[in-house]
Amino acid sequence: MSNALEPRATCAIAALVVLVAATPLGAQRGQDGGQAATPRQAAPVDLTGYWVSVVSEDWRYRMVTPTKGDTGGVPLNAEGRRVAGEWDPSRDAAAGEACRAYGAPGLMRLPGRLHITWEDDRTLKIEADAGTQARLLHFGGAAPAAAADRAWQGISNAAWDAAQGGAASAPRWGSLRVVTRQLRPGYLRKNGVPYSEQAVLTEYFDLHPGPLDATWITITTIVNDSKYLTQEFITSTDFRKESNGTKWSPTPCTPN
Amino acid sequence: MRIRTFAVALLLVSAVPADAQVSLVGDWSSRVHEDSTRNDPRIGEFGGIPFTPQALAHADAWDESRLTLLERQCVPNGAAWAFRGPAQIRIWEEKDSTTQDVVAIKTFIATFSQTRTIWMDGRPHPGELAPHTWQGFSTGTWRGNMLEVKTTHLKRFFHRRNGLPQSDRSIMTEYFIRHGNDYLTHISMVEDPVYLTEPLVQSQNFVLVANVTPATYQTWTVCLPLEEIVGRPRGVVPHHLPGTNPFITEYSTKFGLPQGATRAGAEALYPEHQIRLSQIRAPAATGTAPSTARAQSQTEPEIVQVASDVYMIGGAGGNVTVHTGPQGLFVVDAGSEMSSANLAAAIRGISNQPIRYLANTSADADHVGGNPVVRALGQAVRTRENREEGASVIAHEAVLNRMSAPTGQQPPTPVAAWPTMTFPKGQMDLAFNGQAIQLVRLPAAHTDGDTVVFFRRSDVVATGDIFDPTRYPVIDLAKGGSIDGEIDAINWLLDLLVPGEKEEGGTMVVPGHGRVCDESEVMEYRDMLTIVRDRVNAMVEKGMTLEQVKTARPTFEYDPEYGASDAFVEAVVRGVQVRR
Repeated sequence: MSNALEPRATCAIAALVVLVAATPLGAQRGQDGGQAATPRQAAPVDLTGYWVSVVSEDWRYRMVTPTKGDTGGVPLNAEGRRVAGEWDPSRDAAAGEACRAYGAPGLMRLPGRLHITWEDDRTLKIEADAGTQARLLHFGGAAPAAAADRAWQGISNAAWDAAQGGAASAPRWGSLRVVTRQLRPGYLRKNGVPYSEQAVLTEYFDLHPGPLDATWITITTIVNDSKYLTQEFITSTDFRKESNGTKWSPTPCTPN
Repeated sequence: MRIRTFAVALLLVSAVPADAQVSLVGDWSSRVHEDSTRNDPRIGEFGGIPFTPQALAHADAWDESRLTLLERQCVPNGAAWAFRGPAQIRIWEEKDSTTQDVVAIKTFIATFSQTRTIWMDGRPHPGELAPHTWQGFSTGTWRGNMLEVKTTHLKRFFHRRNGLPQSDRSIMTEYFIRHGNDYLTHISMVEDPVYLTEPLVQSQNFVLVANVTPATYQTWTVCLPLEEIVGRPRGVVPHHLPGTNPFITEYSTKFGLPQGATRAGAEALYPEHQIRLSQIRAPAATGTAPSTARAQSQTEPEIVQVASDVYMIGGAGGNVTVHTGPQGLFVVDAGSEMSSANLAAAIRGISNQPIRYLANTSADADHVGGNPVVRALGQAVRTRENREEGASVIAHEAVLNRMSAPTGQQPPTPVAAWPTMTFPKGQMDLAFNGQAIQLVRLPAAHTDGDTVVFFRRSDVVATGDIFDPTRYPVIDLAKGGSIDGEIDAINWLLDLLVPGEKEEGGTMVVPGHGRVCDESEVMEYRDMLTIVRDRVNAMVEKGMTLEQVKTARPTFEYDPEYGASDAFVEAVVRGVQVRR
C-alpha cells in the first residue's frame, strides 16, 4: 500500500483546508458545540439592549436643525444641492412625510436611543425612539420587496463578519454588516439634504469596550446614491450602552 | 508521510489565531463627511465636547494669533487629534527579521509628516517621568478584527482647535477596524482628567486608495517658523482678557443657535439636550476645580535617560541631572536631605565614576539638601589650588549667600552643604567630558540665584525651579524673585531651545520637578505665566485689591494643571504693584 495520496483524496483534503479556513467561527461551532448555529446563536457579539447616541460629532447638524442649504460635509452633486435648497418642512408635513429625516440612512444620526432585540433567531430588531421607528435586519437573505413597498427603513439584509479561528473559549469579536435597499426617498439630515430611491445603505455595527467600563457600539454608515452624491457618504456614530430603558422616550417624527 | 503533512497543514490553518488575519496595511484617505469644520473650527464652536468649565475659560481667552508665535507655528497635531484632520495616512508593519512577528504597526500622516509607532511586542509603557511626545507612546493588541491601541505620554494639545485644550495627562484608547477591503473605521476615546468631564468618543473613516504618489505625502515635510507679526514686542502672548473676547458669540449668531447653546459641555451630548436648548445657560466659570496637580513626593527615585550621556533622577526632592563621561560625573542639584541616600544609590546605578562637579541651581532645600552626601561620592579634579575632598560644588554666589551667614551667626544650611566654587557674574563655562557646559544665572526669577545648566553637545538643559511644570512657579519675593524676571527667564530659555525634527524632542529640558520636557512644555508654561500676569495687571490697573484679585481667580483654567495658586497670584500682584 502506497503512502502517496490518491488525487481525489488530495483534492478532498485541500477542499477541507479551504473550508475550515474560510468558515466563520460562529458557523464552525454552535452554542452547543454541535449543530449549525442560527444567526442569533452565531452572534460573535451581543448588540442587544438600550443604547444612547453620544453626539460628539456633527453637533450643529444633529442637535439642532440646520438652516436650509447648510449641507457642509455631505458630498452632494449639483442636483443634490438644488434639492436641498428646496427643502420645505411645511410641505413635507402637509404631504404626510414628516418622517423623511427618519429613514435608515439618517436615523442613526439623530440624537436618541436605540433598543436592539432579537425579533426571532434570524431577525435583529432596532427600534429608535427618535421618530418611533423600527428596523428589521434579516439574516440569511430577505425576500426582495417590490418597488411599491419602499419604506423609510427599507429592506435590510444582515450578516456577521466574524473573526475566525481562536480557541472555543476565547472572547468572540466581529462586525455586523447590514445592507439596506428599497428605501423611500428621504433626508440624510433634517434640513432636507436628500437621498433618493436609488440609495443603498451599507452599515457596520462594531461593539467595543470603552473607558469607565462602558460598552459602545460604533455604527459606520456608507450611503451610495449616484443621483445626489458625488461619492459615497460615510459617517460613523457612537452609542453607549445604558443599563435599562428608563430613559427610552419615543417621540413622533417632526419635519424640522 | 504526505497524509501527515496535509494533516499538519489542516491543523495549522484551522488554528491560525484571529490576530493574523487582519491587516491594516495600505494608503488610506480620510472622508471628512462629519465635523467638516474640524480642521478649522470657529471661535465659539464648542458643541460636542464634554469640556470642563476650566477648558471653556481657556477657550474663551483663546486668540487665534497665538498660533503666530514662533514656538507654535510648527506644532504638529497631537495623536489624540491627528486622525481627525483631513488626513492621508499610510499604515505599514515592521516585522522581526527572524520570527516575522509584527513588532510594530506604524502610521505616517501627511499633515506635519508625523510618524507614529504602535508597539505590538508587549513592551510596557514608560514611567511617569519619561518625556511626552506629540504622538505619545502606543501599544496595540488585536481583539478579533479590531486593533485596540492604548496611548499615554501625550503632549498638551487641543480637543478642538479653537482653544479647547487637551491636557498632557490625557490617555487614549483607539480601535482600528477594517471593513471589507476598502474601509477603515477609527474610533478614539480620550480620557482627560483635567479638561474633560467624561471621555471624548469620536470616530472617523478612511477609504483605501491605490497608486499614491510620494507627492501626496509631501505637504508638510519642512516647517520653518518665521516672524509673522512684524514689530510685535518680545514676550507678547496673544489672548483675550476674561469677558472681552468679541468673537465668542459669532458662531451662535451665524448659525442661529441660542446663545450659550454650545457652552453646556457634556450635557449637550445627549438627546435630552435638544429640548433644553432654548434654556441653556453657560456653566458658571466659578466653583473650585479639584486640583489634580501631580503628586510631588515619590519614595523611590526614577531614572530617565535624557541623552546618550545625560540622565535625570526624579523622586529625590528636586530633579537631579547626571552627565557621564570619561572624566567622571557632572551632577546638577542634589535633591533633598531626606532622599540623599536613595539618590546616592541611584547615581551609583548610573555610573561608578567619581563625581567631579555638583552644580546647584538655587539654594532651595529640595535642591541642595543632598549636597553633603552627593559631594562625598565624588572627588574634585585636583589642581595645585584645589585640594578639596569630595566633588566641587558650583553655584552662583547668591546661592552661597543664601546658604551661609556672616561670621558668628547661625547659617541656614550646614557648612558641608555649601558651594565650594562660586561665580559672581552672569555665566560660568567649563569644558568637561569633551563638551561645553554653561552655567547661566537668570536673575530675579524664582529667586536671585537661579542658574540653568546647559550641556551643549548633549543638548540638554537643567533649569532648576525656574521651570517646574508640576506647579505654578514659586516666586520668592524675599529672595529676590519676581514675575517679570520669571517670564524673562522662561523666554530666554525658549530662545535657547531648538525642537527636533518634526517638532519632537530636540533640546531636552530637565525641569526643577516633574518629567523630562522639551520646548513645547516650556512654551505652554510661558503662555500661562504671561496670560496670568496680564490678567492680574489689568485687575490691578482697575484698582482691585489682592483679595479681590484672588477672588476673581485669574488662574482659573490652569489650576487643575498647576494646583494651588494663592501664593503665586499674590507674588504676581506684588510684582505688578512694584512695577507700577
